[in-house]
Amino acid sequence: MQNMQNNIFESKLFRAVILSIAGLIVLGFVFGLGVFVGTKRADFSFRWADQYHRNFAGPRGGFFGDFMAQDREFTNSNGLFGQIMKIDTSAGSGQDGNLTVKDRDNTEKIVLISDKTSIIYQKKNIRLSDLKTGDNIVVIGEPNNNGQIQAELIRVMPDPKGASPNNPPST
Amino acid sequence: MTDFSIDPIRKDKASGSNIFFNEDKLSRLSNGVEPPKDLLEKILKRIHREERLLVLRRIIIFSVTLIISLLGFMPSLKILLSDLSQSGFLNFSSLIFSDFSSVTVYWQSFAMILLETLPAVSLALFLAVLLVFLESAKSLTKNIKIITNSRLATN
Repeated sequence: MQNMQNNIFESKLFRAVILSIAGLIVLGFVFGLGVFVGTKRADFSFRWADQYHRNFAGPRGGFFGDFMAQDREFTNSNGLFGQIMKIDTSAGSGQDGNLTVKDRDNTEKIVLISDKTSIIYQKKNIRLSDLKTGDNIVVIGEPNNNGQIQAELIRVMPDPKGASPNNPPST
Repeated sequence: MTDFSIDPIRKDKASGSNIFFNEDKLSRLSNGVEPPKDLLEKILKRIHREERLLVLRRIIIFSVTLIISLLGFMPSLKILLSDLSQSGFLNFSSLIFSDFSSVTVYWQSFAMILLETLPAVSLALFLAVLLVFLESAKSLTKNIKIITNSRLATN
């Protein structure tokens, strides 16, 4: 009986069954993770498109619509990397202000800034008023129901043209 | 006293069965027929030749897959690097080095943005090419070693 048990546990078939189960677990985990991330992106993209008129005062892609962009991928929900287009420092409803940022996928997004948001340039913490249009920033944050991103961390990146080290945001 | 349980021929004889190991029949068939003295050597040589052919065939197959994977390595790497920079993955991941303490505070949002920007398809393509390359290289060196050792043994 003991010998038979040893034979079963040492057989190639048993090893194949164990490996198959492990593979299925990994596949299931990756699939679940993909569904979770995809759902979050789709949800944010829907809210972003739904609220576009309110956020940017006009329909997306102009008043004639943006029919060509139907096959565009879902936009990132938890952060963005792009250039500041507009800075609004008017405080209100728990916010210090907001930024309009053009993302890498050529979409404009509203980034909300509160007193909890860390804005970092090189090694220093800076304020919202220190930012200027044209700065390249990396934003990490949480999406809200209005298709905006509540920023947690903003890192001002060096200008790709090399102008930034000689022309840093005024502190 | 003969132990019939050990010797199959005698056991068969004892049981009276005429199916296997019939000693008389065997002796009648082999009467006057002597196998060539170099038969064993010939069989071993043939087996050795077949094994060598099999190894050579494997060397050719793995050489081809190695060359194909080598040719596909650079394009797949270029696609991966281009996707990594286009999606912003490199910019986000660079925050680990520049703002490690802040990233640890907002690790959930950070992990999410890394997952969102990860170019999964091009990464899978690159890893597949890399896997084929490594497996081909491993099998090729193993088979080359076998053929070299067999040549040394014959010399």
